[in-house]
Amino acid sequence: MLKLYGQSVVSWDGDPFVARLTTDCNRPLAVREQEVLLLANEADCYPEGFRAYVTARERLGNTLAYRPRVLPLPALMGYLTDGDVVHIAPRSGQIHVLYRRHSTANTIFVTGRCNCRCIMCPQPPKPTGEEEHWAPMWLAAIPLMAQDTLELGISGGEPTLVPDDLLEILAACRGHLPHTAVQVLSNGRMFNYMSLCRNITCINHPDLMFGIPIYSDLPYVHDYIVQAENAFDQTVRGIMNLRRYGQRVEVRVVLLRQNVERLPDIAYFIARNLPFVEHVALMGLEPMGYAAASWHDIWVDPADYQAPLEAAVECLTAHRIPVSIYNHQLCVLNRSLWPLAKKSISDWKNEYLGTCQTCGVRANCGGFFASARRRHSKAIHVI
Amino acid sequence: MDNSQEGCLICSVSEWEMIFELDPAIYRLSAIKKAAYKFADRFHIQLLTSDSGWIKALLKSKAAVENSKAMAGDFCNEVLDQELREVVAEDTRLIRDLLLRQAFSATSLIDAFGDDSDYHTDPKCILRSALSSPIRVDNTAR
Amino acid sequence: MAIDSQPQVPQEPVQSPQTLFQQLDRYKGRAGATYSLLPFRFLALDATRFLLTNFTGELLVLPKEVVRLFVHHRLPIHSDIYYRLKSRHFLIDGDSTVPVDLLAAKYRTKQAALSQFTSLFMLVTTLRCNQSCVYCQVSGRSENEHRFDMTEPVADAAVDFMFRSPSSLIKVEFQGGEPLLHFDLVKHIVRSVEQRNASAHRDIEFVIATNLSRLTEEVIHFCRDHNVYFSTSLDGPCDLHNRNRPSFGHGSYKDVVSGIRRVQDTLGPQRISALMTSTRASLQRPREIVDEYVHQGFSSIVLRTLHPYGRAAVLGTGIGYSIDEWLQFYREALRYILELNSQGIVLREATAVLLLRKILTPWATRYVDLQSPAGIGIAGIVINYDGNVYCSDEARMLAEMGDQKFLMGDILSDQYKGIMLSEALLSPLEETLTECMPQCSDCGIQPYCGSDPVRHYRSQGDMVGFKPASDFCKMHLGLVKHLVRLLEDEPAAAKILRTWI
Repeated sequence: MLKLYGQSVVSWDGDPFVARLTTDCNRPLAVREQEVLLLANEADCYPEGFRAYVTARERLGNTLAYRPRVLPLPALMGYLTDGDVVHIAPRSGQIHVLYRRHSTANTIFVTGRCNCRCIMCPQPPKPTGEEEHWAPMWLAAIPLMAQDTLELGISGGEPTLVPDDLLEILAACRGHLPHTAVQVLSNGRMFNYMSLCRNITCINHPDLMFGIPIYSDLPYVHDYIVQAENAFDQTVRGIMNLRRYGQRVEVRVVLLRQNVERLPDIAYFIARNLPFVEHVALMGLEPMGYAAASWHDIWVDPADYQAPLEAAVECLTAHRIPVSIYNHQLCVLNRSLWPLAKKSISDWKNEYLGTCQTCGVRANCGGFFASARRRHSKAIHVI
Repeated sequence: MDNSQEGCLICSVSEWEMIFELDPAIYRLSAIKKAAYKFADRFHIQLLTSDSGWIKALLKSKAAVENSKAMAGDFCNEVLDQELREVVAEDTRLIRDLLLRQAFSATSLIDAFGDDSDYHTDPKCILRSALSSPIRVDNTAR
Repeated sequence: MAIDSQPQVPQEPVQSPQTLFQQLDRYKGRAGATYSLLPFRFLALDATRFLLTNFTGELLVLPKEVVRLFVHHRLPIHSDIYYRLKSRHFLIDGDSTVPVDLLAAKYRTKQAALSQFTSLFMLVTTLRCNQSCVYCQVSGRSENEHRFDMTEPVADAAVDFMFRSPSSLIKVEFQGGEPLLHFDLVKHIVRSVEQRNASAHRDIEFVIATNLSRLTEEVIHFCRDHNVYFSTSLDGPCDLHNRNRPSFGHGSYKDVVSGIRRVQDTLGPQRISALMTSTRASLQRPREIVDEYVHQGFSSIVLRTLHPYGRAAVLGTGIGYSIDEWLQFYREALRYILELNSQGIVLREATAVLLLRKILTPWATRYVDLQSPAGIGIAGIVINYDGNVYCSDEARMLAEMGDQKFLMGDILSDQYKGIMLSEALLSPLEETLTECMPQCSDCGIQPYCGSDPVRHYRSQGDMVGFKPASDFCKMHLGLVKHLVRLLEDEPAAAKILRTWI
């Protein structure tokens, strides 16, 4: 599991800033202001003009103890490399990795707040505190991202909670990263307002998709799982409105004890009522946050729900709706489902068990969440 | 005689004729007519009001009927089903109109706020955070 | 891509679920203590069960007494059956209003094909034929009677007419007689359509309905170059086919089979399809007919009844049969087809596919003979060799028998608007909506059915038709009930049928 937040031992008096990492001392002067030079070792003198300098060595020699804008890299952040984008807060010494050049799982977190409280949320919103305003940080980061980035996620909390920030960020993506596919993860409820859908559409992003969860075909069950009344109605209307404006939608269904038996009904509901969706993702639980706390209430072993899972897949496939299965290991899935199982876990939190060393299909298997070390199917076995 | 269905009396059955008496308090005239319509390819049909106020249905067969008892049962079932249809039609008349109007309307007839509002004003309170204050719910009382 | 959560942020300890979450009952209770019915229709599937269809044709099969309880608002809320009815929009209760939006949207989707308007144009390029099928509805003329050929001016007017339709798809079907006897005109029409389409940008499909007896190299090359499909008739194994479709001396089977092979080999197996017409002789041999189709490399078979026109009407019971007898044949043939499917053979029965799409999918279907409003004129239209425009194939056959009731106009002298708004078309459309006709309007399978005003006029003298006496009604009731029984009661068959949509 990669550490994306770090604390350096050094701090100085300066405003927080966003910059791109480079290992090239000879960068054109014009771009150095936006970049941080990543050095293997400390040096006697540093090339002028960079916003800051980061050294790989943890401890500074005394000669550099008071040198401003030179940070030693915090522990476990040695993976950082050219093209990565970081946010540095000099007064606290905090480094936050916003974007990794070689990752396929880069995500823009627009806000930490949410208007739902899903009982299996792996990353619960923080309780009340100072309201953060993260958009400026991301708006500074987007222009620094690589033009050939294939995909970018936009998530939160709930991105539509700060709708104008979301619009600005989408516009920035369109402007700076016109070849990058963007997927917004949202509960879709704010799209109940056509005015928001209209504004999204006006941005005219060339490759935009919305990933929206529906947890049941029964409204009250969905509302219970997300802990918000009328959420089902708002989400479904949101999806319909997005469709009216020509936006692409993917439906995500997290599988938990409360909905797994009705999975075939959920599949049929999607096929009859939302047949235009581009894709359906059937997702295993991530045992963190509320999910970890509620584990006994929500967990059901995948080995025990292969029948409804297969029936649901059969239904969606017959209706020509593409399906994928996320966050499941191959050994707990029926073989017929293997082609649908994707390696879906973000690289920085993707791990395998000791047992998996000798498994013949490990290369194709998505593995586990780092947090699932003790929370996984009892049916895990070597193939 | 046979009284297998409430309000539907089978008065007589033969291979050429069936006579029923039906309670108009249970079966609408429209239901009886619709049931009779379905048999009108095989029977000549007369509907009369009897002295008791019940509807008398005379079905005279165009050709000899083999299993007339079963046919009589079929007719009673048909009346029952048609009555059920009338109930459904009446019960759903208004919602059916709404659905048809909504199907051909460019705007929402039940969610004007969603259609017309500015999301900044959020009249449906969708933005209201579930975490605006931590909940203390006493679930033990349930 | 699956982005699941934020990276690790230093966190306060998480509160326990009991204090943090509202319980299920709080949300469950919002459904309320009562429910409202949403519009639905039903009919008896068998002695104990009803088949129900909702506003947009979604299907449920339930015991009769459960349905009665349901209608009288006495079904227990939160029971399994209650949830089935709720999920499929047969009822609505207090926790949601979005079923109204969804049903309205689904209804529009099912009607969507209407706005496309006419997409199928059947051009009778000649009445000349070189065969004499026993059930022929065309009254074919002999090969040298060229006055029964379509002329170029009529053909050109037909092409103009096609492009007046707003449909994004234009499907041109060449019929006859035998179109290959007048192939020059077929080529002329194909080229004209392609030329017009350079600026019109529609999706174009060409099909030739042919007995394949005149399949020359020239025909094959032309059809390859212009992406023309073939449709032919194959009634079964050799003796059966020849009995139905003699060819003035020798049987036509040899020509058909070799023609099929040639098209499959040179153009590809997807470029040719076949249908069969059942006569009394066919009814005893469902398995052999299906085997013949498998043997000839088809992946689709259309099992079709006789229509009461042309020679079929004249010959009466000699080749005819009751609908019950035909349904028996169909059930056997379908059972055998499903058996073959379970052994990995790819073969679908086209009528079943159409009905299954109506039952199981939210999409509109465009099959001309099973629509409400009827598909006459507004889904498909016929332009006869002499320039007469008819609202359907059956209407033209009626005209051949002397009744011009459904003649819409003349392609050379009448305007598009005048033809499409003629009484001959509007009257039958208005009067025969299944949503309005007696017995159709509240029939359990209304969402899966259509109206056939020409057929009812022919067989009963009245376009609306008295349904208890209607073969059309009987046939569709029989077909749908059979498919529903399979879907409901036979999991193995159902599993196969669900892949056919």
